[in-house]
Amino acid sequence: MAEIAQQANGTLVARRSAWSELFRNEDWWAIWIGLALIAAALAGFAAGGSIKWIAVAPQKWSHLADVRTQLAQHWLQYGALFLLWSAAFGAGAAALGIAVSRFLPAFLAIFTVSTLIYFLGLWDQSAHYNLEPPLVALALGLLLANTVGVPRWLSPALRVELFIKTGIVLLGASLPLTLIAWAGPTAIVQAAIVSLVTFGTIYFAATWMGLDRRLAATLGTGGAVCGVSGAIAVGGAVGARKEHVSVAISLVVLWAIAMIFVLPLTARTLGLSTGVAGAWIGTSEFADAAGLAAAQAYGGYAGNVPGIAGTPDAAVTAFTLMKVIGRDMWIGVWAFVLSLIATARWEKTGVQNRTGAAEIWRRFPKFVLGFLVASALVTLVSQGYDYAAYKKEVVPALVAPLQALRTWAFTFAFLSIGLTTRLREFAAFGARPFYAFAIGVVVNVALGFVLSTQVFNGFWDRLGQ
Amino acid sequence: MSTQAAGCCLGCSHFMHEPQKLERALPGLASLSSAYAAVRAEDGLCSVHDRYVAASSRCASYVAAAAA
Repeated sequence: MAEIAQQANGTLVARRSAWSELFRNEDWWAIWIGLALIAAALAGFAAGGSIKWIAVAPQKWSHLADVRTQLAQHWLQYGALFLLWSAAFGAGAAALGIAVSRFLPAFLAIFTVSTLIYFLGLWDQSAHYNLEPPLVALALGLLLANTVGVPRWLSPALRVELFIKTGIVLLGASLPLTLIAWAGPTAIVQAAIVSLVTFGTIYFAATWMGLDRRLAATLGTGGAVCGVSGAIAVGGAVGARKEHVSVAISLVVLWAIAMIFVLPLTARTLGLSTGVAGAWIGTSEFADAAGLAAAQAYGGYAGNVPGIAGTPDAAVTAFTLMKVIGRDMWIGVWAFVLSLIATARWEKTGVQNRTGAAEIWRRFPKFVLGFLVASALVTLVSQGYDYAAYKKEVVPALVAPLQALRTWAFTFAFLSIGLTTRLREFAAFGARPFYAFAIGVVVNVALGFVLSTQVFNGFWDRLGQ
Repeated sequence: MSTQAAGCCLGCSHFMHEPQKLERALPGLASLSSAYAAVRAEDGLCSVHDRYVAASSRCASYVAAAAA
């Protein structure tokens, strides 16, 4: 954020405080919220207690009477949880310039619908009917947004990125740092192969079809690195036309949403283990929120669908390692390199780009730092426990409540994706951008599948054990 | 710390980079990303060139924004 100030000599300058970034940016708010919750959980654990009372979550049920019983027994906890999330996300929203008085009623609606979806996912027949909470949340949101429409008063609480990044920081608490160190390099190698090939495919297909190089690069990064975030980072770094950024956003969102349904259902048909499927989704989905919806849905098949091996969390773990560590972290490098190429080699636009290497840090997705710090904190606390004691003491009192909070944050995000995706508002795109991106999708999905199921499959399978 | 932007897009009246306005100007941006995300840095829309540009960019059409 910047503010315009007038110097003594009359020159207008824009000032940007580095400290203000810590409170006016969703990445940092995800870190503050996520780490504050983890700190509270650690403090409770150190005192011999737990935050599990407030980290309430629905339990398995068979009949509606069971749901009524659960709600009657735990209504106070659900109310307290709503207040906790309202305070946390309300503070974040206020710092971003969203009035709390507008945020809270909207968030109450999101929380209420998310609770119903969470309960639906715990129905003992949900897997049989493919009623995985992420898919239900997304489909319901899409249906409402594109039929009856979403009331304007709901918009202030539809902060997909704030919810999903907070969930990813919380996810760090359930991943030992040693696991990240062990699996990270493999994720980086696999992601780098797919990212470079996918970017090259889209870029060369687009330029071969006669499309502008800046559009080609924006599309390529959207498909290869981190979806809409990648597209806007590179679009700004190379100075793409506004309509080209809009085209890239439209294509990425449409394909990403299609893949939320296609990838888990295909993996289920093929009987892939949760770790392998998570790695494939992490390689071939375009956006964090979309990929986590697909990975969490697939994790839900473990133990519920015959033939799906691995633990439920392995899909989300493999996805996160592949997407966050393997792809997201490198967006600043992509933007910097492409801005240099655009300035030196591509046609002039009338705008002089003065991007420097500092852009790598400025565009770095800071929430990744929160994810790593969360992992380090819980790893440190867990060091004095052997495996049996960890499962018996640390998991129920410390890790499980944080996993429940993570699931809540993800559910808010999945519902918000659908509610913010209004297809009729999307920019129209021509046939050539569509074909160029589609060719990249085909290559990406095929290469990601081969690497996940044939080359590194043993590795990703072990992750799920 | 502060960054000066005299003569840059960041200080130009043709430059629009407020997150809420950007999310309205670029439909779909808030679906799977955000104008409040770190990756955006301070990029915004230039109404002269009709481009999405970095805040540190410059051009001959610079017009200083009114002081806040």
